[in-house]
Amino acid sequence: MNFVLAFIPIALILILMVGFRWGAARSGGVGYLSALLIAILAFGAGAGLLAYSHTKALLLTIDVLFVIWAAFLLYRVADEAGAIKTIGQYLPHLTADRGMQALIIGWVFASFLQGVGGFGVPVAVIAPILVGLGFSPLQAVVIPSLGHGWAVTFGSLGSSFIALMAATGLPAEVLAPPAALFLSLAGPVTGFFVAHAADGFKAARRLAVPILVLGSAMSLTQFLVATNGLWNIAAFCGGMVGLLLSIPLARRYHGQEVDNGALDRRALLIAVSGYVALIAVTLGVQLVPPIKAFLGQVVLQVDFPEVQTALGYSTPAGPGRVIAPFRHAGAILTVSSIIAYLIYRLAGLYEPGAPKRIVTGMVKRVMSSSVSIASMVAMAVIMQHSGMTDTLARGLAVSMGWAYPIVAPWIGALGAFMTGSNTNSNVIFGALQLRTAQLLGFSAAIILGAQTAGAALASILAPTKIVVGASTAGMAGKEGDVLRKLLVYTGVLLIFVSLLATISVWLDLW
Amino acid sequence: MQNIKQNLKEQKFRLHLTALLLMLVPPIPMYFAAQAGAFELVWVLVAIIVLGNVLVIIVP
Repeated sequence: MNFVLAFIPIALILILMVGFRWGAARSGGVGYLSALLIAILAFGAGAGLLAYSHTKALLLTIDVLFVIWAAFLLYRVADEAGAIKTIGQYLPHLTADRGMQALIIGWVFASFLQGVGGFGVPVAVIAPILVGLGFSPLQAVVIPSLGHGWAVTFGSLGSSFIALMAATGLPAEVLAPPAALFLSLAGPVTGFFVAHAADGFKAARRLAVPILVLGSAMSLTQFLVATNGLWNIAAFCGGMVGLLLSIPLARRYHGQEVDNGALDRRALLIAVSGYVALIAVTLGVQLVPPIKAFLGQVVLQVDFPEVQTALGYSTPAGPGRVIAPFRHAGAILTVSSIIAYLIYRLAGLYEPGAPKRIVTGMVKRVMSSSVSIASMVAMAVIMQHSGMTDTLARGLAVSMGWAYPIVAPWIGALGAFMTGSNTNSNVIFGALQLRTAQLLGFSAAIILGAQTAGAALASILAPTKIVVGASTAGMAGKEGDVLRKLLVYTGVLLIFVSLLATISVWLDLW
Repeated sequence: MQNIKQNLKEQKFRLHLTALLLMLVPPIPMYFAAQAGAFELVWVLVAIIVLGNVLVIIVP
């Protein structure tokens, strides 16, 4: 009975988002209210427990929102200057081969955009470019959707990964290796899917070499960067390496009509410089010990006492999420945004009134997702402290047993599908997956790696992303076609992650 | 009814901003209220957060 009650908030979110097509914000509100009521009435949560749960949830929300807001600020700074458009327009002129065009724009450039922006930006930016190149609207939405999924967890400057750390309390050193491995191995597979979506099996076979070269380079870069402490720029670096390699590869696979166009190197260099600033600031903060230590002097930390429900479930005393505001990924992004703005401004790329448009565009775009994150984080923390997550985990552990590593990525996928985001999925299911892994004796790192990999790859199915893509490609109202097309590809990718997770558990890799 | 829905849609950004503030501000005094044992105040603050979530739900 308690298992069913504990599942109600998650089921409600799922039903409202999928069945009734509600947005993540509204569904999150319902999920929060139901979790609160059930925690009080059925799990014996008292005022003290709720007070400390909400305060912990506030810290987690600030941690995640700081990155999301700052990441979108950087994107808006670049977009307002026309930098994204410049990079995007340059790429199609490299090759006339449709398969290569799809790979460079819909896979490599989409991964790069996911690294710096995320939040549906890759699909929204790329779908119209592909339509302009002669791809059908359906292909134009499907290609970038498939192309960016593998870069979601370590994209958006690591916001989904931060959420996973925040929800589980585990450090990056533990969580990054399996998550990076699963996603990096999925990377080349998505490349083949992109080629297939663009021009069928023929293109996938014909372009096997560039797919393997680009896929290996991007994946290896993401893996190495993520597992060496720079997880917040791992997808971005992978995308950047992919873009650099695309140029010689595109010349080799140039198709029948070669049209490299007139290249304005100055415009391209200026466009890219904003992101070079991001790399420089990130490396400076992460790799120069005196700077890292200096910026880490100020921390936001709150100590919490032990809390217990009326049923006896207790959460031990300890600090909540510790936030170092000046060393935070959000701070790095904000500083990079300011530097990028100054570069673009000196280059004369802004029209009058740009600062206002940048800020209002950012605030309007992130408000809805901020509300949904605030609701869902609070829901997840209340569920955790009232013992609801533990009840769900025990139920899953009993019913799944040895098969749990197979199921773990599908739980992450479910969360991403219903909430529209890898970040939200990690917030909702991170603690549940951790607890279940502990109960069953599986490596928490592997199960959580499978969680976030499944969520990242399935986030492309999220109704919110599909709606954005369909509207920018001019096929609003036909979102069902996109979903059907993506379902098969995503299903294969999830099976692939299930296999990787199972093999990792067998081999006892972490 | 249609007019109310339309008005709510038009005011979506302001309503979401208000809801976000209602969700993020109360936990701060809530922590101190719990430390001081003022649990009646905790319930009032929980009610404010609930209000924020209700506000989000009614915006189409």
